[in-house]
Amino acid sequence: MKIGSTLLSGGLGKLGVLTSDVEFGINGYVKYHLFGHEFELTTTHISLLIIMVTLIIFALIANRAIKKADPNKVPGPFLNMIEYMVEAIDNLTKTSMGEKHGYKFSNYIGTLFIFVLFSNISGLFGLRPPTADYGVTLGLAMITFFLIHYNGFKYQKSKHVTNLFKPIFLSPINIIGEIATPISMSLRLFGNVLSGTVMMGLIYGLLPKVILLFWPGGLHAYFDVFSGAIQTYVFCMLTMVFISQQFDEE
Amino acid sequence: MVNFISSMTGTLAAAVTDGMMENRIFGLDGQLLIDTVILALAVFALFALLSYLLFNPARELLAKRQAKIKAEMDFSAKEKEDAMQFKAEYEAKLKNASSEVEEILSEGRKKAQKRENEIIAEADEEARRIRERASREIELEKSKLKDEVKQEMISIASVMAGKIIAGNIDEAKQAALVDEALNEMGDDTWQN
Repeated sequence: MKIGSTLLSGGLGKLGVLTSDVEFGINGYVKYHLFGHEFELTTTHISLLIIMVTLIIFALIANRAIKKADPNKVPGPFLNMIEYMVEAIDNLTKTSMGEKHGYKFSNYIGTLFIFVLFSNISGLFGLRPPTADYGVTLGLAMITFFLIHYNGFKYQKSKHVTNLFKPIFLSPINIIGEIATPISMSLRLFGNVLSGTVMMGLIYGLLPKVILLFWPGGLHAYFDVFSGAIQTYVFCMLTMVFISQQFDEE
Repeated sequence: MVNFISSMTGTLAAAVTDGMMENRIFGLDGQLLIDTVILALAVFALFALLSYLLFNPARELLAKRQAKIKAEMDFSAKEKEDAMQFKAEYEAKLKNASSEVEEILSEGRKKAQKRENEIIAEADEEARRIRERASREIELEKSKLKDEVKQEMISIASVMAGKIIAGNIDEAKQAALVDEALNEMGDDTWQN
């Protein structure tokens, strides 16, 4: 859809700026048909594939390092980094979700954290961040939504539904609140990453090449690294908090 | 569902319908749904792979290292406890050492004193024995000398008496004189 670029080209066109170099949206590359509908392989899928392959290669190298490691010897820098990362994720989940249930979600939260972080900072490597596509952030939020209600039914049984109607006059607000959770989570991440992507797209498209040698470095540090890391942390924290709320009422 | 969303957001999705998607920002359409499903599958696959390759092995390694460190710390604590026990024992021994030394010295002094007394007593005894032996020897020498002198005197007196008597006495008178002399000398003279 071209609403963003149409609006942009309209606005910039009045200022007499050439908009042909401005590129921050998702492009389709290959069309395919599924269940009688036509879909496309897009920039997001390519970025997603590159990020996944990178993460899998990293995991394979880490696995090799772990297999070779001797627990009786001092670990090297790479192994140290892996151990620190895993311990930090374990501590984060245990702190946020409690000692009893936290460890069960460590692997998922770790995967989510690494994936979202790499997606957010992928703009540094010339990729379009997959999290700047609502299809990705909605998918992540829907997984969280599924986990919230799966654990709600698992630990609270029928109370998970009946609690929505207590007090009865707040039932509509409670139901809207439940539905709003994945929408707000996905739009928050999508909006933040997209804003950085749009800003960087405008800067790369509109500024002279000489200025681009120096100026975008700071902006990348803010939009990709700082904002990306903050949004990753926020998304993971919200996921953990929403899921752990289901244990509180166990 | 896709048709429903497309109809609801028809105005927004219209731009994608012809040709390839270009510079898309946001759309509530079938592409969003398929993107969501693809993402969910990708995250699930990534979750399985990272759990198998990265998180679980790293956690196992950490657990092994933790167990090893715990064992070493327990061993160190036990060693420290033993060392503290030994230290306490040695400190107690050092405290008692001065009194033990005093006791040993006192015992040594007592033994030395006793030995000294024994040596002195033995020396006194030896000296007494030597003196007694010397006295006996002196007495014997004196007695011997007396006997010799007596014998000499007797022999001289006999010679003199013989000469005198040979000149002016007869045999009966000579015998009476000898008896008289013998009686005067008595038994004591010969016994000393």
